[in-house]
Amino acid sequence: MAGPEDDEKRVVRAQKDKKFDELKGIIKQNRDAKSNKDLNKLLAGFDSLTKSYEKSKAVFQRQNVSTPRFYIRSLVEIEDYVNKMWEDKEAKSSLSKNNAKALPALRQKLKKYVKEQSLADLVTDYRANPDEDGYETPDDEDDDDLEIVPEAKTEKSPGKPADKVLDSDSNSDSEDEDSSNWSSEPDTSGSDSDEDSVTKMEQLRRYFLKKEFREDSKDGKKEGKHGRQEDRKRVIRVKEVAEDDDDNDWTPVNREKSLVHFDPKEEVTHDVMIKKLNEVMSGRGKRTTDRNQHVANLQKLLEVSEQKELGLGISVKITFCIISALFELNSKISDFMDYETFMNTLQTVNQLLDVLISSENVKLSVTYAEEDENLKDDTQDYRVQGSILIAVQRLDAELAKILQNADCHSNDYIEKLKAEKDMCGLIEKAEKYVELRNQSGIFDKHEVCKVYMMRIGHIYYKYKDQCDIEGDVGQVMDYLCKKIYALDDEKRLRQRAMLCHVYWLAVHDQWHRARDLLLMSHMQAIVDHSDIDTQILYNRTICQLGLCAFRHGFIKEAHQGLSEIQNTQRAKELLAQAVGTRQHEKTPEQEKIDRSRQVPYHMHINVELMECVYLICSMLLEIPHMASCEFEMRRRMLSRSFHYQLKQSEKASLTGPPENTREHVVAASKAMLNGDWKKCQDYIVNEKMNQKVWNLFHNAEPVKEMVIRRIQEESLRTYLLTYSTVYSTVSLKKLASLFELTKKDVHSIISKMIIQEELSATLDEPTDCLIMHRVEPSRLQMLALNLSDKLQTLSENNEQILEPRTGRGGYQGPGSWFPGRNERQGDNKKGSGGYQGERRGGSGQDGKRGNWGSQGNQQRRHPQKTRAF
Amino acid sequence: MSTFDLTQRMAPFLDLHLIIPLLEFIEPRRIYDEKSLTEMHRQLLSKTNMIDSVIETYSGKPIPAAIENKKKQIIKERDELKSKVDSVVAILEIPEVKEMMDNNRERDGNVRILEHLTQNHNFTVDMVDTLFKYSKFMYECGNYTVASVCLYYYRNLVNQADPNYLNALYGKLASEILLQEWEHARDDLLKLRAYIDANPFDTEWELITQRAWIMHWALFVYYNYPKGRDEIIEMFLNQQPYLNAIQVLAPHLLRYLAVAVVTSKSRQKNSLKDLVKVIDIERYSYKDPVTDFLTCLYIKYDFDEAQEMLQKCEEVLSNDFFLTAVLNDFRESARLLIFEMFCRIHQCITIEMLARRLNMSQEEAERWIVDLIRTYRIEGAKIDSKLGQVVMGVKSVSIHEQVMENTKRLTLRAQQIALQLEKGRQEKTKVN
Repeated sequence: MAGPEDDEKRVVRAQKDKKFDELKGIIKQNRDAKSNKDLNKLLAGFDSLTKSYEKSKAVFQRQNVSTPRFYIRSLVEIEDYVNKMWEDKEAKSSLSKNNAKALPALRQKLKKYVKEQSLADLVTDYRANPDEDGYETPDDEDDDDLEIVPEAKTEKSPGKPADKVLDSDSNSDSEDEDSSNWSSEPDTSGSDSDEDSVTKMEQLRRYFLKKEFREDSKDGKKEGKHGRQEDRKRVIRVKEVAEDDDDNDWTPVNREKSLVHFDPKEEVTHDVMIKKLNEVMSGRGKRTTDRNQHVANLQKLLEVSEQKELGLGISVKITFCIISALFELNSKISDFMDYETFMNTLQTVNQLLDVLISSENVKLSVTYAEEDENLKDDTQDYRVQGSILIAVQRLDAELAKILQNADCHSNDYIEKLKAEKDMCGLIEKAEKYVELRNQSGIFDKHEVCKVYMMRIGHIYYKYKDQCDIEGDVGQVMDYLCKKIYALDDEKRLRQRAMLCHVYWLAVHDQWHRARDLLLMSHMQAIVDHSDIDTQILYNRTICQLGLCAFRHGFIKEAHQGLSEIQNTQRAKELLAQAVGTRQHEKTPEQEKIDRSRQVPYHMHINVELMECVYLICSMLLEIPHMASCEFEMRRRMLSRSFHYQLKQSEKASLTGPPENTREHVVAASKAMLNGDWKKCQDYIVNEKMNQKVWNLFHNAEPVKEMVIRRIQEESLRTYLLTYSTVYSTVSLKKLASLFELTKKDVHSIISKMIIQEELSATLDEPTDCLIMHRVEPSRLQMLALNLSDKLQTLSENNEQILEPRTGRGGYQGPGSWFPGRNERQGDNKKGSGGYQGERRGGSGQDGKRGNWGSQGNQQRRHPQKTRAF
Repeated sequence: MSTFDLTQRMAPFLDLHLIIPLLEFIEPRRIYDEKSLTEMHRQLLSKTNMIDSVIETYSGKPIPAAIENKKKQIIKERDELKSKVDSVVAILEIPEVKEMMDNNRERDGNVRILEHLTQNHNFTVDMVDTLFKYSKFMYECGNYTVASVCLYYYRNLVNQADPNYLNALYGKLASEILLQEWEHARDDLLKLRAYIDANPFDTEWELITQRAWIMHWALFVYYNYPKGRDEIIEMFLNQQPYLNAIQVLAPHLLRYLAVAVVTSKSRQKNSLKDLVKVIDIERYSYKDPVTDFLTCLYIKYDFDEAQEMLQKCEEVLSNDFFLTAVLNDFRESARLLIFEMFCRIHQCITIEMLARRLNMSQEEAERWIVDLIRTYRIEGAKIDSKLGQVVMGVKSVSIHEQVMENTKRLTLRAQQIALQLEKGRQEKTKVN
């Protein structure tokens, strides 16, 4: 084939081929619709088929092509199908409403169309001489031939085969067609299949040969023009390969490789480079492009550009392309990156960042349009489209995924965790870069926020010593958060930053600040409406804050914080440290999403520790409470799960020595209920518990002392409440020695109880003893008391019905500051998925959740202080 | 000595002129280094136009030339302004105009007077500005009487949207405070508070800052005004926004609030609980002997420590500009609180112990207790003189009584509900 002729023909073909492809595509769709019995779709498909044929007609006419046979065939097929459906009453009645409507319409249209276009002859012609199923492929091919080579065309025999050399492109089309036929009509008769496979094989061979030939000719041309030895060699080699092996992988490889070649004669200028780059990039994302090769190509380009010193603009652009290509190495979104690739990408990004930091005249920004890019003019600033910050972000997300998918108990995890340190370094560098260049306006505000957020994300859960940041980590944290408070418009990041800050403060035992910040953020009120990731973060923060409160001896607050999570029985799930067990409610997608939300192992909060702390808190609060309510009819429970544990152990017929932490606390509770504080203490503080609980705190000793002290106090209270009916006087001295407290402490505890009317007793100062006034009420009296209690609640309820409580003026006690989660249960259920819904499940009775003890008025401080930042 | 002095913490919230009396109060107490205090005082004065006072601070030593120059300059400036403002004041002092102003109501937005003046008396808008400038200048010079009069005029001429309106309010209040006209000052304070509460500010932050300011200024007024302490409770504790401002910006105000609550006769019972709650919350950010006293008494129930704190309180109060006058009152009330607590907890107390706790001699204590029992009718408290004991009558409530108590209220409430229902029905029938 001579060069010029070939070129000419190719133009023609392209136009026609395009039309043919279009038609064939529609036909294929129609076939699918047919096999799905989707008449509606078929009707639409038919419409578009006729339309696009109408359009192509002009082209065909110009080319002297008659109606292609495959078109007729498709019409006939549709007709057959419709008629079949029409006659088959049973099938018709089973059609859906839409389809039932579409069927007559389609039938009508088809008839009309055939008549109008005077295709009836062709159709009958075809019917008289139909293509057999197995015969399809060669027939198709023939069709192609017919169309492609106008000289060979004869008006009267559209269906007849004509022998001509095929063009590989159209051929490959027919191949496609062929394979699709095969897939959609698998019931080809067995006798045909042998023959068919033979033809197919032959086809394949021919295909390669031809392709090769063409390639050869092309390269030959090149060779002729430029006389390149290497090229020729390669072609020959390729030919050889092709000849003994028809693995069709070689084609794209070859093509790609050739892409990166520069003509040595021609000087590699910016324009050539950009053109080349665009050429390479055009292959991006295509199915045929080997992603690894794509990266390699880009890397080679970068090499060349650096050799030729084309300037930073180009190399930044190419590097950026490489980064995106690296990200795309893995096609599936949910899949995680290879660790190697990750490190590779990390390094590339790092290098790019270095370049960007060191050279001020390169600007990489998303705000530039592609036309605005300036890659070559070194008198001006280089402008490149893209965002390094987004790349860093993506990298961060990838790392999280890698860690999520690694086995957290293996060395592998630790190995991979090392990358986290590099990541921190990178983010820090990115932050430095942002701060260096923020004035030049190349960053999107949101991007900048994200960078700060990422840094926070890597700091907030670590204890001071674990971060390798120079200077005071607290200040860094402060600084980062304030940046976000100032920059972020859309609240979400601000909320997250605030939660992280609270978390950090809680980890570092700055209880008051953490509490104030949380209360001021009003997160309790809005968390139900936030996205699930924020809810998870909120849950984590609350837990950490609870632990912090415990370490400081704020038992009540700790209990409140932890009960949010602990009362639900699925603490792990709420903290995103395990996927929920009730999988049957979830679709696989949901499950996948859930899994992607999991917190990497190194950030986990120790759930066992948390549970133990929660139970200890419950014990300290609940046991005296139980003792004081002994005679009341309905007891109020402060903590349901604690009661559950108690009851469980009561049920057990045989109680052995406690083994796990839970049993320890339960045993301790029982001891306390009997007023035996020593035993209680022994259960709580011992070797076993040291290992499992206390040693996990940073300042274990003071915490232990605090707990012991609280045990003494609460035991004393329990003792007094339980045995108040037995004693008429108790000497303070004896109590002090019994509980190993100072007399002053005993005095103050007792005073408190008397003032709060828990204990009806008075002190006798001269003799230093406590005089009990408590008389055990008779049954009748108790009933009377209960009755009066009930009457009181009744009348209260009546009052409320009559006059729903409106805002009470003046100082409002705690608990009135926000409507309370319970009231908004309705919209919880639909919105927030599994991370909030059942939180209150176990704890219906405490109406004052979400506010920490008695800090009602604190919560109102929020709006003011936020402005201050 | 200076640990619990609040002058430094308060200063940012006060006007220069208002700080001067504080400094003057502190100076003779010698709790700060004398030299630095004098220097401070002088610097402060030199920021104002009160040159004569600056000169006084040199007390015989040669006076720098710069100050002499400044004096001349100020006098010149004053004369200029005065010549301008004279005509304005002349107009405003026409009896007819004055009368209009006195009868002026806020609601009209002061437009009417201004209109009247421009129509009948050749008054121009510029004159208003001159008036403001002049009053500011006079204030700086320490001539508060003139400033207060001029600002009074100004306030009546300008409407609330004017950018200087707030300044004028503050200026007037400061002038009245410095003139010690407490009645006027109180009126001005109320006006200022109303203005601030209407929230004309852009940000919450500004609002809260203004609130903190006004609370500090209010101390001058309320602690010099017979019923002022109740008003402090009303404003600081019972108004949530102001309590917030205290918590956020100025927790040291809790001292004044605490003293006010402790010494207040009528409000004490209800407020004490709230106050203790707030003190408890803020304990980590602010504490001094006064708040600690309450903490010991009501949270820790530690009477020995409360006693110690009470002693420290005396020192603190006597060194506090605002509180020095109420020291005796506070001591009395605090003792009473302690005694009350004892009575609630104990059945029998030796007078000797009480005397120790209350910082009195035994005889004094006995007399004091007798007084208490008589004036406050403490139920069932008797003195056993022979044993030197106070014995409380046991007042345990029997269950019978408890039930009675609970149900007694029910009848009343049921009746109320019935009444309300009746009322509702009547209204309904009326509508129909």
